[in-house]
Amino acid sequence: MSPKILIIEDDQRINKVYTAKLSIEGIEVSTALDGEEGLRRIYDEKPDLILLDLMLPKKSGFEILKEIKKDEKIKDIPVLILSNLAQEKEIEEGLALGAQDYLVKTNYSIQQVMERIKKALKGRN
Amino acid sequence: MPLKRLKSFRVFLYFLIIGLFLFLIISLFTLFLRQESKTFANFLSNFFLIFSSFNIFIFIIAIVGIFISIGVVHSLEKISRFSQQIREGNFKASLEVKRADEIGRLAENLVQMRDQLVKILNSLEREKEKALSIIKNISDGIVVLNSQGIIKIANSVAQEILSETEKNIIGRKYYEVLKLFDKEKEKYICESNDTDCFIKKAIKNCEKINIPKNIYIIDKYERKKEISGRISTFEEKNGLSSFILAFRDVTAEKEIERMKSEFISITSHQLRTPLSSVRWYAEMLLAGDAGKLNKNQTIFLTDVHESTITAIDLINNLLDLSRLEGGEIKYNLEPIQLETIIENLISDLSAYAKATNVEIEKTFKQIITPKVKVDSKKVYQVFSNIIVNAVNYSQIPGKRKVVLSLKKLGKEIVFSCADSGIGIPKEEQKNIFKKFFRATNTAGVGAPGSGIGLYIAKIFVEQMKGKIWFESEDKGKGTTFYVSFPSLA
Repeated sequence: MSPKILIIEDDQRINKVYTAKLSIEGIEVSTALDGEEGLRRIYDEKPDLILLDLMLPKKSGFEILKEIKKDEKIKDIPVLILSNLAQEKEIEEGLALGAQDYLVKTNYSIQQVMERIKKALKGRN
Repeated sequence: MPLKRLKSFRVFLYFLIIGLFLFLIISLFTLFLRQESKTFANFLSNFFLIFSSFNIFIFIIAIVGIFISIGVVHSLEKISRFSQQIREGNFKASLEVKRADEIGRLAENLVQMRDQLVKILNSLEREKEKALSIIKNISDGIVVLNSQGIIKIANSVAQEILSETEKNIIGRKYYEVLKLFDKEKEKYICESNDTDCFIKKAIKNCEKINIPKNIYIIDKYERKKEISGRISTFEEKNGLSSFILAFRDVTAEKEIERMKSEFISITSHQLRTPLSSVRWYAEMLLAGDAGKLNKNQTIFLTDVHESTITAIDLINNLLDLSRLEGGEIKYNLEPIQLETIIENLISDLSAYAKATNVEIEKTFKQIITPKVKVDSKKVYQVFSNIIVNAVNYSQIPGKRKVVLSLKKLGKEIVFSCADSGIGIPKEEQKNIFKKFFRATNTAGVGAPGSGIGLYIAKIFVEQMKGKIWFESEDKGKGTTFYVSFPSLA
């Protein structure tokens, strides 16, 4: 069964890139464009991995992360933060809240992002 | 006791005078008797006559002695009274002894000593007033506490920050006047029972303590003002300690700082997001994800990709620069082996090296050097900058190789990155670490760069007690960059 990834990201173009590349890699993708929808989909879809942006409408990535880690049912789903917020304190906060990794989008090639995703999925299995 | 002895001497003289006076009366009486009897009386009267003339002489001496002793005692009594008054702090006391002898000089000296003392005391008073006026007029809020925590002085700036008048501050305990709120912990601090209070600690341990971060002072009208500063201690002349709490209202500065940081954060996010999709689409196209590209398509797309990377680097560097100049960069120093950083870099840069057709080679196989104490993220950034530069300037056919090495030389661990690229012109070498500098011979190569990377690298390295330098030959023999850090073993 192919792994399932939930992308919570409000930028449509970024979502398109992720979807295109991940499909080539044989990974099933669903996307949520705001924080509330993202959280709802986590419960509905039980993804294998969550790619989380931080600056999101309705509910920020930090808030989503806090709620994920609070709930026994979903707290074990690995979360990769993929954001363009690159200040040290944001990175520290993201990792402290339990994110598995924190990638500043622009600083990684799409190939590097894919490697990190595969690594996170491998850890899950 | 000399004065007392002098006084008894005077009493003795009085007796002597009275004695002599009686003797004189008797002598005169015998003179009178001489008229009556001629024989024995005659002899007696002659004897008394001779004796009484001698008496008159002693009598005169005694009287003179009395006068002299009266003068001396009187002067000494004046001096004694004067010194008593000075001792009691009455510096306006006067002393007039008009004598040319030692006693007169003693009095004169005493008066001069008094005048000198008054001068010194006045200058001390002036110094004290000066210190007080400095405290009062300094641009920081100053509150002076005694060892019981009672406020003794509050200058005008402190009164202004507290929106209180002096008489409502002086004489009260610090916790009755200073209402402090910790924004992070969302609670009031330094209330009467707060044992964790920095003011209480400073008073208890007699030490200097900085006001913690994110502390607001709440003024009389419940307005919050963010403050920074510290409490320090000094010893009073009575041996007790006093404490100076110096603080500044930094509300406006912090607000500007917050706005700037928010601006940088938002701008970087807004600029990066579109660049991410350009970069990733270019990478997908170059990887053949949308089908095989022809030669020109590959060349054009490579340019698009490189330009995007340049723009991203520029944003990153400008952000670093702004944080660097704002003093916001923190260094998390931890012992680490530089090999691990280099391994990560080689793996992260492999795709880039492949795309540019440059080979990155390392001369070591496993961990060989002792640890160094650095911030690994900063070192990653510095090394990445150097290696990417080396790759970019190695785009000469036949020489596409970058060699990384790591050695222990003396007490230093030295990283080197050698390329065989275009080199740096001799006359421009001194400018390499300057902000926004790019060598003139880079134009033809088309290598991306903003001229900020090495400027930041040098600051980072030096802040971590390291050194950065290079050797370069411009006739195509390449450049070697070195970075060294003190070895921990």
